[in-house]
Amino acid sequence: MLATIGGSQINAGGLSATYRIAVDVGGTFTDCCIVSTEGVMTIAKAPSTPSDPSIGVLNSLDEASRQLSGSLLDLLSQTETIVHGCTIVTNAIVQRAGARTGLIATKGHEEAIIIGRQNQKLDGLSDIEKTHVTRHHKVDPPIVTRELICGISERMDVEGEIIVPLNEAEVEDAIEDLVTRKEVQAIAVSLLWSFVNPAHEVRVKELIKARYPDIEVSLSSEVMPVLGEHERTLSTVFNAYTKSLTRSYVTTLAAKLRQAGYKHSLLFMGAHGGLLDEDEAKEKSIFWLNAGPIGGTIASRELGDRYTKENIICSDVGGTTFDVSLVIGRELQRETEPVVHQYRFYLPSVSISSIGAGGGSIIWVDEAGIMRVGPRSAGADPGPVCYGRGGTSPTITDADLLLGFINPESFLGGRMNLDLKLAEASLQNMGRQLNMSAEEVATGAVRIVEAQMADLIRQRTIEYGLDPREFALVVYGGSGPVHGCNYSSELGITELYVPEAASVFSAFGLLMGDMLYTFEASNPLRSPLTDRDMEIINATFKQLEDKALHTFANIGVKEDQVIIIRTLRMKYKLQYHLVEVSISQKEYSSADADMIEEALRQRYISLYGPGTVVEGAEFEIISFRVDAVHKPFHVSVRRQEATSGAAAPEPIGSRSVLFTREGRVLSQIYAGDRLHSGHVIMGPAIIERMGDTVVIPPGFVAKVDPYKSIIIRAENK
Amino acid sequence: MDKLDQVTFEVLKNRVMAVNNEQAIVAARMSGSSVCYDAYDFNTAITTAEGRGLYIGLYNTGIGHPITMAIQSIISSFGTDVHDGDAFLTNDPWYGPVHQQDMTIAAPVFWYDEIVCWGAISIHEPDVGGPVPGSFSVGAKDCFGEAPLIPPLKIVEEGQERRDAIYHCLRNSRTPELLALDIKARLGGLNHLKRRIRELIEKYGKDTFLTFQEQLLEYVSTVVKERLRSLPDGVWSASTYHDHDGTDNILYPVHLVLTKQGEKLTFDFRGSSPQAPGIINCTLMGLHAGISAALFTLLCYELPWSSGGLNDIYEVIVDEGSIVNATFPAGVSGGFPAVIWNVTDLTNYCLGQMLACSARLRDEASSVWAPGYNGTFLSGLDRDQKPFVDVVLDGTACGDGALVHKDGIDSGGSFIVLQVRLSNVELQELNFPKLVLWRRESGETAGPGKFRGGCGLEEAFMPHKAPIPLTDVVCSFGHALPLALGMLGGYPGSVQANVIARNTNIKDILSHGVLPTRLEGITASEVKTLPAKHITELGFNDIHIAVYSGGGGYGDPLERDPRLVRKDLANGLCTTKYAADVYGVIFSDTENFVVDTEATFQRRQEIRDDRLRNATHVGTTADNNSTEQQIGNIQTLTDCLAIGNVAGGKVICCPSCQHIYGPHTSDPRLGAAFRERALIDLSEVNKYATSEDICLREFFCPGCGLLIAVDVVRTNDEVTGSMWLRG
Repeated sequence: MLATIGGSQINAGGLSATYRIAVDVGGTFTDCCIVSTEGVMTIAKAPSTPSDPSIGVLNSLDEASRQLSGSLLDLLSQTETIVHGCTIVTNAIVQRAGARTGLIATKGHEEAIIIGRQNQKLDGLSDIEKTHVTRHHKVDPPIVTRELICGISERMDVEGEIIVPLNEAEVEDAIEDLVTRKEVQAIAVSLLWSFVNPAHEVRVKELIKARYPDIEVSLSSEVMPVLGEHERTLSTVFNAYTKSLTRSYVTTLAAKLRQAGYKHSLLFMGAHGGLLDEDEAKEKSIFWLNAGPIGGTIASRELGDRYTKENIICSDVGGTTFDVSLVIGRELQRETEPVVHQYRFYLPSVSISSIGAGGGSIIWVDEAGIMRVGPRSAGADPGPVCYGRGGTSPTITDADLLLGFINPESFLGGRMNLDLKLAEASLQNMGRQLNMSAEEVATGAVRIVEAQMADLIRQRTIEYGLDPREFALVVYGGSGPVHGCNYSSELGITELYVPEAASVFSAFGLLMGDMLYTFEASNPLRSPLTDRDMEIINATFKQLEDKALHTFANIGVKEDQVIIIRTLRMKYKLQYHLVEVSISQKEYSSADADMIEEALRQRYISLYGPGTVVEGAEFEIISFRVDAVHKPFHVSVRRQEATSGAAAPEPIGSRSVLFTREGRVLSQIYAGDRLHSGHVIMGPAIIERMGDTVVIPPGFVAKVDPYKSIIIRAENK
Repeated sequence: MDKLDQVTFEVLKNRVMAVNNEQAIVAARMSGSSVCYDAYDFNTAITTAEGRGLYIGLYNTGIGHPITMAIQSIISSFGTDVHDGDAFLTNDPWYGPVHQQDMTIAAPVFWYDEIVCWGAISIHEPDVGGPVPGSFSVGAKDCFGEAPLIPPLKIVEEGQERRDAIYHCLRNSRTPELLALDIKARLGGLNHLKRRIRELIEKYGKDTFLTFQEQLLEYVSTVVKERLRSLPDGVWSASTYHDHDGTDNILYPVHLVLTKQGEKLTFDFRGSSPQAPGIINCTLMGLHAGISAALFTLLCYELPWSSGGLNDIYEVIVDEGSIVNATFPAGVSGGFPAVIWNVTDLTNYCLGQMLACSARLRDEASSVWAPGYNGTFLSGLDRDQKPFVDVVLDGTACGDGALVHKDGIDSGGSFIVLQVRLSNVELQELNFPKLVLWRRESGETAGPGKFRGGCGLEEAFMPHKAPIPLTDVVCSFGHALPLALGMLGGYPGSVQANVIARNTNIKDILSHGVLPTRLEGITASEVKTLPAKHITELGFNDIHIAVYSGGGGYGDPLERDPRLVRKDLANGLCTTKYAADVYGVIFSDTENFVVDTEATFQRRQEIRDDRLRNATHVGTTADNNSTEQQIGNIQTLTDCLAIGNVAGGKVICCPSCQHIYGPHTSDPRLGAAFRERALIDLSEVNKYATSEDICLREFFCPGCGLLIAVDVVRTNDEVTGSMWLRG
């Protein structure tokens, strides 16, 4: 299917097509990206509404339906799929805005997440930061303080045998203490060995629910049934902390959309890089953690394919955060123990780093009288001063406006006017504290925030020994194209890619996401593999595949539309680390035992080199995994051949722009919708597009490619 | 070749650091030992072709520099007999590794026929033989009673494994299968290193890579020297004891005088004990390992840890045949948790005081951290009736030293093992036939101060579903006396302890649905505090309780913000009695933790008065100093010391009451008052101390009672100085 932006591409039939919609709720804006079965793309934005994000979602859809010259009812009733991505869970944890959460743990082991395996102080630090021991500290404040942790007498052992029966009187006391005295709204339950025998956890839940049915309960044996009480407990605590948020949000959103005419179920982007259905999304709020920006990573990978770039730095400047992820050799980078705010927990996920730096980042003055930017954001409400919604703290967007990067009249395609006077007054005000002019404050703040952005990319690349100059840099998010040239040049990167729909790129990527369900079962087998073992292998995979296919069937996806990937997680005897061995065959017989051993051997040698297998070593299969993948549809963008006409487009005007390095320069202004493939624009110039502004400082040259992406190169650098 | 441009240097600096880390990760993943895979008790290094250290990994810092020394030994042992595809193994402390357990494998990286660098990996093995499971050969008098020494041995020759040589290494171990796997793990890590270095040379060129190495060493050296120049010149000294030699609970003195002049440090260990008839000695290489662990940690922050860059910043003076420069055949299997750790502690103490007196780098000063390894080694048969050795590394989860601006980190891990981490209880119980009954932070292990040390853990474990009773070997130190010295008026952390409760009724208690979390309430036939080093049996109904010590404090505890004391009280890390006795903080409402400001003020004055009432004056200089002398231009040196001018010149004085301690180049202690106190006055945990003649010696201002130092000494020890500023 082909997709192009803009109402002009719509068929005469208006809303006769069927649609697929992606909505991405950011800290400042809610982005919407719609692709029709004919391949026409429509984009829309509305301010996010943090107190009830569904309002912003509906507003953005409403805006989109207007662009399609139809009603919201027409649009939604003709929509097959709505895919949703958001940062609400991440924000709740970072801002400590989740439910007041208590923890019930096995007595004597209450402090596992306080002790933090002794190296919590290092989690999330770069190697260089690890060397600075006097700067280390533990999480402060902890997400669950000591007073909210209750120990209860009960104990399972390694085999799931009950060593100490559940002391229900202690459980009742703990519940009473947490709920009545300490007023918790949610309880996480994480008992030792519960992933082997969940009986005690299940009973604790019954006891809580019997007395307080409204308290949200998360059990470690359900949320993340894996070995390791520290990581499992944190996953469970995060889930408990945010479950009421996701539950009420999914319920509200689904009801509103259905009321508005949508007939199908919603899909949600998960941290693992796949899409989840409504029920899964409600229960496992932890899967929402860090899932917000993944759409952009997926879209960047697809963009890279056009230019045969396999290694990509994906940089997303939103209103609230700056997110960086990498694509290496076309692969999304994954991790199983991500770190959020120094907490290392268990969650198979796509690896993305974030800092609080974006268009909405607040400029402030610290106790020492030094100008600082972020990490606090003005968010959507009140938003930057120039939005005129009562914000008084100047933000990066206000600075961008004053410097002339953004046109107050063409923001969001002219649908929102920005108030330059208000922005200037607030910057002037701040300047008085700093003994600087408004322009000096704006220039300084932009330089500070761009340095922070360059530092995060440096942390993800240079500090891991990766040379950023060997990567294609993709720049997106509402404010990305304003600052991209400057943060890239700090890293010695001389070429950057600004996609056409940069301001809704993460939403666009949601439409390229695969639905992915992963099912895992632990069923240890030891070599030599017998006939009986082969039966177990077949039966285990069959069971997992049935589960996966059933899940897809529930949302109307047929068996022949699902790709099943089977993986054995194996190791040699005595080892701990599991090696993942992909197995293509569907049925195994005893004759295949050697084949499995050989597959492990080959995988091992490819990982660790020849001569590293201990000859004759026994091996073990520890667990079985099935990844079931369904590609709902594929979006590609129509190629536009270079026009034979002028190499440069006609500017629509010019204005004086204050660049942070070169000072004030008269710059040509171009309209994004008049650009064609082959156009070349020399900096200093500004391209005003629907949803964003591309700033091309002096010394940079932009070229429009056949996909209307803008490729910017630094000249003589 | 010219110097590399800034970006290329920065990329290579980080990339080679990352490659060093990758070889570690690969080895850890292939390893069969949870000590390596899960707890990270191992390390890696990359050196120049001649063996100058470029990088050590960020895992167990202490065994990092020894790896580079092992490479140097291999180079000098094998000379030109080093070929592409070779790998060498050694575990001999006279050739680098700090004890036999740290088997180290090194391999050269060739580019065509030239060696461009070396890589090496050292993993602490659960068992390499000798009379005692775990190979900490408690009871041995010398190295003939320990695991076999393996001087540099070629185990892979031009890509071909020498099976005879490898078999030789495996033969003495109780866990040969594990050791075989771990040898493969090191070779896998080194393969990875070679591949990555060659890729790098293909891209940047060999000359760039070699130039980079020189530039890196110069860079590290330049930055460290610049840091040193900004520190005050002077002399700092400290003394401590290593307790127990494996057979007898004898205290062995270790003594350091550190002189700092410009950009040069001189470590003088003369006066330390002669080598001991036990397992606690260190070789000259071990001494360097101990010093470098503190130098890296305190002076090389935000730099690659390149021992090659530190070569010309320090020198060592030491007597041959002493406990810190032991000659063959001294017993050495104690490794780091023996005298080497005391070396690191003393280095930390002296550097800490020096940094604390610097206006620019005072935030880098740290009190001494807890004696970072109360080692326990359980062995026997596992649930499958197979022999096992469980290296219980939990003892590294102790308290960090206080800084001049904040508390030490609770259960933050010990000083030399940067990234070692506590294994989950579930992983330990999966691997070994035991049950961990409790594991929690213990408040009174921490050294009090204006900022307190971090606290350590207390835990308890017992056999579970073990076919036979377990052999329980402890090899620890800091049981007779606290070792985590405080800084500038801060108190030391507590002693550590191992306690065995025999023939308990624990199973009865458990079956009745009660999970005890302390020893009180459990009936036992005997409760015995073990000596620091000991071998015993852990029977089916016996419980082993271990206490891991806390870090030293900083500054007088009476200066501590009462809100911090309140926080500790709320978190269960302190009692109201402890708050009143040690911090002088009184709570009017202990339910809601309300500080009584007036009572606190009075209580603190009482404690200061009490100090002054019981004071002895140290030296004659005290008589000459009158507080009536007019002092001008007073500049704070630390929270408890200041420099000022009087008619006769510069003096060192009390910033609070302006008592003059003496001329500014004299040791302030000589103008101070002191008193001695029992260990038990400081912490309930000190009841476990295994020596009776240890006391705390508090030095304070004779004018106002403000503490300036707290020493841990034997009651008959002379009063000694510790700091003489110059210039």
